[in-house]
Amino acid sequence: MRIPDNASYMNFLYDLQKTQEQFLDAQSQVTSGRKVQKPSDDPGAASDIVRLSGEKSEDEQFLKNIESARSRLSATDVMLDGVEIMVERARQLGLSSLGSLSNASAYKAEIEGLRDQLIQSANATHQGRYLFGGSVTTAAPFVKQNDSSVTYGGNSTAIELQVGRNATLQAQLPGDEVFAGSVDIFSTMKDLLAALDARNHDGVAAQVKKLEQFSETVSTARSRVGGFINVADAMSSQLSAAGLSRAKELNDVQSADTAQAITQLTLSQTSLQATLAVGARIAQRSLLDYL
Amino acid sequence: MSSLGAILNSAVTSMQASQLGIAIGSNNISNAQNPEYTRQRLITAPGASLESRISIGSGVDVVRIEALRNRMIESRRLQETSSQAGADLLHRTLSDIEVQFSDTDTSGLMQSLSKFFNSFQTLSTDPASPNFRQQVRTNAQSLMTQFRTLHDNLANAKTLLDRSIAEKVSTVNSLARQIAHVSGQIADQETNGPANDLRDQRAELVKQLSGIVDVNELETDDKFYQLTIGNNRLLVFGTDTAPLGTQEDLPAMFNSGEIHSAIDARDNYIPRYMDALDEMAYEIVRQVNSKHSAGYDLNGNKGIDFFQPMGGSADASALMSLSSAVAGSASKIAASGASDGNDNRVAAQIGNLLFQPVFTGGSVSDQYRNLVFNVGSDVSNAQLNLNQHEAMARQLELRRQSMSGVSIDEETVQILQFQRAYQASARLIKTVDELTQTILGI
Repeated sequence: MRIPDNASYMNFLYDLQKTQEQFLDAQSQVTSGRKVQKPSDDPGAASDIVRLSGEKSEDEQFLKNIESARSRLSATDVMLDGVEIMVERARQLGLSSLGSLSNASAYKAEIEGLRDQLIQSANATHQGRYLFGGSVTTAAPFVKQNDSSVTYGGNSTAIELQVGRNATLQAQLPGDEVFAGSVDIFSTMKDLLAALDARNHDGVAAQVKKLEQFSETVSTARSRVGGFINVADAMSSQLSAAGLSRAKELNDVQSADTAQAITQLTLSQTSLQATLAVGARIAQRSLLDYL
Repeated sequence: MSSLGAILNSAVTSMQASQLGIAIGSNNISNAQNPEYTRQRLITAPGASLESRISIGSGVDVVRIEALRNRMIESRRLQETSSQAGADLLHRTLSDIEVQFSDTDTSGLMQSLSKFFNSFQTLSTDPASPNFRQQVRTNAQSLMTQFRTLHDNLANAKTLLDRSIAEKVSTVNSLARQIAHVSGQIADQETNGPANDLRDQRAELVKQLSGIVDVNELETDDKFYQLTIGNNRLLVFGTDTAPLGTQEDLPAMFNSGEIHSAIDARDNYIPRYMDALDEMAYEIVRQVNSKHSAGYDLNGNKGIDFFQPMGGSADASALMSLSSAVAGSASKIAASGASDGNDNRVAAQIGNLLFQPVFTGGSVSDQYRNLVFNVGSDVSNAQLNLNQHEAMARQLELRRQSMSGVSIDEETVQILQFQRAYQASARLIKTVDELTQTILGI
């Protein structure tokens, strides 16, 4: 086959162009640290990156939701702890008064104080939102009326947050469930005060009994809250674990293997140098040199 | 018997032929670097015998100067030029578009989608929060901006292609006029002999043309030249042209070349990507609205759309906007499933649309994944196609060069040969001269 001068140069230029492309590609993999820089580098991987990055931000959001639920549940737990202590104190006062009902007014003052504190606890806020109003979060749910009775202005909605694609977590307890459930603590307190006023031994005893029942309600509520917190912990460690393996997967599809990329760069550099060396020789061989 | 005069004549024809040969060699070397140049050869024949009894030739006759051209390779090369140029244009166009779909885990449309839906999840942690409500609107704005940017860039790519097609059509017509003109010159000159240089010139013009459209050349035995493009659309016949008009049915006309690829990108590829974006935007508007309008805003009102409702998906990615209610006040964002209090059910439902498979073909993220995959494989196929045609075009170019390209070494050898022949002939004239002296000296 005749190999005219143009053919040698054309071949050389074509090869040079291809090796330069490879070199540039290897170079940008090393400098950018990314294997897939545009979808056509690997359409499957590019689509995986979209999926993984979507899942990543999804899970990050779930973790935020879990944190939000957890901090609210912890605040609820702290409040309920205080309620338990106050109710226990009220129960003890009630019990003690039974032995000296003549002295009832001394007990009454402290019990009235406890009742007001209980109202305060039931109207506790967390980050500016009422904890025990159900979905009514911007108005105090428990309102003391003129006749000292307390009405509930919230609702029974249990707020749930999305913490996984198919998982929700209850983030707070509606106040009516805790404070006005099987035992309505505020009418119990009101009745207890009235019984003390009336020096009614049986009446006081009956309300003390109710306070005991209420303690159980609160303790049940606390264990529910504890349960929710446990779920939150479990979900959050599950999401973190999934996040780790996703980060690895994302790294595998998205990031260049540095060792491999640098090897590739060295290889393509060598072949680029070889191509250039060959190019320099094309011009060197000519019959004219020998004439 | 041959006379001394005849020998002298024969030597003279040899010297003339050699000189011509050297001139041709020189011309070949001068054009060696031009890949479109076709090398030329001196074709000679032995001069006819002047006497009948003892037949000695009368030197050398110059028959013609021939260009070494292989018609088969030339026409295959034209086809391949068309395919290669077309593949190149498609690849370039799609590569430009692809850049916008190069998502990472920190940038791209997927990020905006996640942020938008996640801001509803954040709102669900505190539906009464004015900050979270504002955040939902801000993220909705940036999602819409992202959609619009993608849409506008695709629309711009289409406009650029339109313009480029119009330009290419006028280039085709201008090349057609030049080709017809050169054909006329060839016809004039070839009454005397082959017009090699003009033919090279025409071949170069046709090659340029073949990058834009697929061409087919036809030259009859009586040298009538005709050029058709695409599906037998006559462009040049003899010295006349039939200019291509933009009103013609261009999409149906061509099978390869730049115009064909530009039309393919404009009418098939880009609309497919746009439709996918529009479909996504439209479904987002629809799905979000259907949840949103069933929910209650901060003031307990129901039936509010989040996005301005749209009649269909046409241009949805460019047209999507907030409803005037939500644009007017963030308190109109419906996060609650009941009129009393601020529960978070609707906010959570809208947030969940990010991963729920309620969109055509799965979730909204699945839809976008498909689009990225399609764009990626289109570009990667275009690249493969281009590589293939480049390799074939190169192969044909090498074969053409092998036939028609100039080798300086070879020309040097030829020139040496002619030089020697010239020298020998000159020497012969001297010999004849000496013989004549001898005769005169008798």
